[in-house]
Amino acid sequence: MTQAGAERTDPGGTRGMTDSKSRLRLPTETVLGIALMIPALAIIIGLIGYPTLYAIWISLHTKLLAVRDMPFVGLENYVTVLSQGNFWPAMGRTIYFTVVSVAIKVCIGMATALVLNENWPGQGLARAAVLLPWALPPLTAVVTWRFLFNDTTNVLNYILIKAHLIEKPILWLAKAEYAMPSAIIVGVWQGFPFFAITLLAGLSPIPDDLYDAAKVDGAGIIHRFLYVSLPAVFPVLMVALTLSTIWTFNQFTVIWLLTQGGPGEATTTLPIAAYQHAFVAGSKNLSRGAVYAVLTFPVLVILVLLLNHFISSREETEA
Amino acid sequence: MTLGLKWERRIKVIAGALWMIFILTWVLFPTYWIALASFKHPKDLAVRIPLFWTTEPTLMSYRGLFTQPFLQFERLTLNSLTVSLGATFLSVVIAVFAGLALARLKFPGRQRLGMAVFFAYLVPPVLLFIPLYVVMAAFKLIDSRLGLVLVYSSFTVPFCVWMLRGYFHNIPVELEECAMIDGCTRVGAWVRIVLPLASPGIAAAAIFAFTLAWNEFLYAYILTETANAQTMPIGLASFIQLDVYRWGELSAGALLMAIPAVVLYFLGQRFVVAGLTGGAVKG
Repeated sequence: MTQAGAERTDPGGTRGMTDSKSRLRLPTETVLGIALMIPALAIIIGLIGYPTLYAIWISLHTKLLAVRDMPFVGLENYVTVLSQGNFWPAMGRTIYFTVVSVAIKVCIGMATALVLNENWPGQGLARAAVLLPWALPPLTAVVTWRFLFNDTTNVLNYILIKAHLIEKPILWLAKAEYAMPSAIIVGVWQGFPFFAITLLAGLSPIPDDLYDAAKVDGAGIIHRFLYVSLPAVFPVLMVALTLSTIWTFNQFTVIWLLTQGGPGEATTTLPIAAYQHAFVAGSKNLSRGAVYAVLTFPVLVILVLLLNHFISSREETEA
Repeated sequence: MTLGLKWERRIKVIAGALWMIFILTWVLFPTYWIALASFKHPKDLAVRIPLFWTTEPTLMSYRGLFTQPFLQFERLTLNSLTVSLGATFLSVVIAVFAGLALARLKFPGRQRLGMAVFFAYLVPPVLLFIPLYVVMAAFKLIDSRLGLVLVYSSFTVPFCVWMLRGYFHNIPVELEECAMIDGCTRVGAWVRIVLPLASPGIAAAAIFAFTLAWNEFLYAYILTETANAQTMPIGLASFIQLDVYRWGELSAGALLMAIPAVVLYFLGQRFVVAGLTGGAVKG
């Protein structure tokens, strides 16, 4: 099995050779290949590529939800949004939400993966249970937490008061200073299993010999983590980190269903602001919303370039 | 030295056990709480001291869910099913073609196309929802299930292509070359050899595509207006805004919506594992 696995993961080594030497290759391979790609390319260009450019186009015009006309205004929307004073606070909240959420997700995910990587009775069941929040629809996760945070049914406050962790009930979603931590709690609850499971996949192929050898050399548990586990999972960790950062930065559903960006603007991140300008606020200005969405684009590009770097360096180390 | 190791091992076991107790409580208690709420009698839901168990489980909340006139829960379920199945079918068919091309054929730009598909999956809905709304409105596809199927394929297609490309790549190319020596055409070898071997991967791609579409919120939220095309999460979200204190019905709806997603997710996980090991044994 390991032999077959090694053969299979060989990226384009022996296979590339047999392929290029093969006399069975049809001269029409290019034609067939492109023909088979057409439907997928049509979807990707029509529903991702074109809309991305169209978002920029809309942001350079004034497009109101109920108005057909779309006059060109150049960079006016950008000037308005950047000078209005609520763009940078929204950017700050988005970065805060992303950095804190991802940091907690990775710590909890790593600790859980390390424990799940050991052999103990019920380990398989525990692994399935840990995956549960990740498998739930975001709506279900948010309804669940709104129910826990709710102040008339107050189970979370009840437990925390009984445990003497707090003295009086916390207004989780109604108080500005608690709304962001509450959103982070729910986001972390749904998102940490992704780290737990990907890091577990990175940890499990590490042979026990490596740990034993480190033990013989007198390495304590912390040193074994730092010098055996961490280097082995590092490539997986970097890819998971970047993916999770992209998803968390663009998180809409959890925040919107939990707080709708409130109270006040306490949880208004860029995705929430984009939606509010386009579909909620008085004029329903799609262009204003598009400006917020387009301004998240540089962040996405940086993250995607990082991801590309990590994936290609990972392929190099495997090859 | 040996004593040190022994103590270290003890501390490790205790710390690990405590951590797992914390994690499992954190993961399972909220889920238990919502499930319990859906079976509680309404009078037990808004009480000062929460009840951690119910001695008289009732289906009242579920009945209430299906009899709310403004909610039309059956219709929402039907819409969710239609849209998710439509997007799944469309994207699996498209992804089988594209996956075979990317994994099996040599043509210029193949590597770049593969990466482009992956990056297409990463473009967030937040960037696309405003232009897609304008485009869908221009094509009169607002509040239409067909419109949702098309928009959902913007994330299910790249996801399935990426997954199937990897899966096809792992099936030994020698197998189809043997079939071609025996007189099969290339496409014939794909249909007879590659696709049957890849069926666990195709099933897993279909399952994950279905759950992605089933769980989707933002697009359905802006592109649907009435029970004509509204999906379950949209109906249940309007329930939050209309009636904040109907926790029984809301929990029942949220739980019913979660069941297919969770069951399919765990089924898909197993398919991926079984597919990989099955392939390894045969190879």
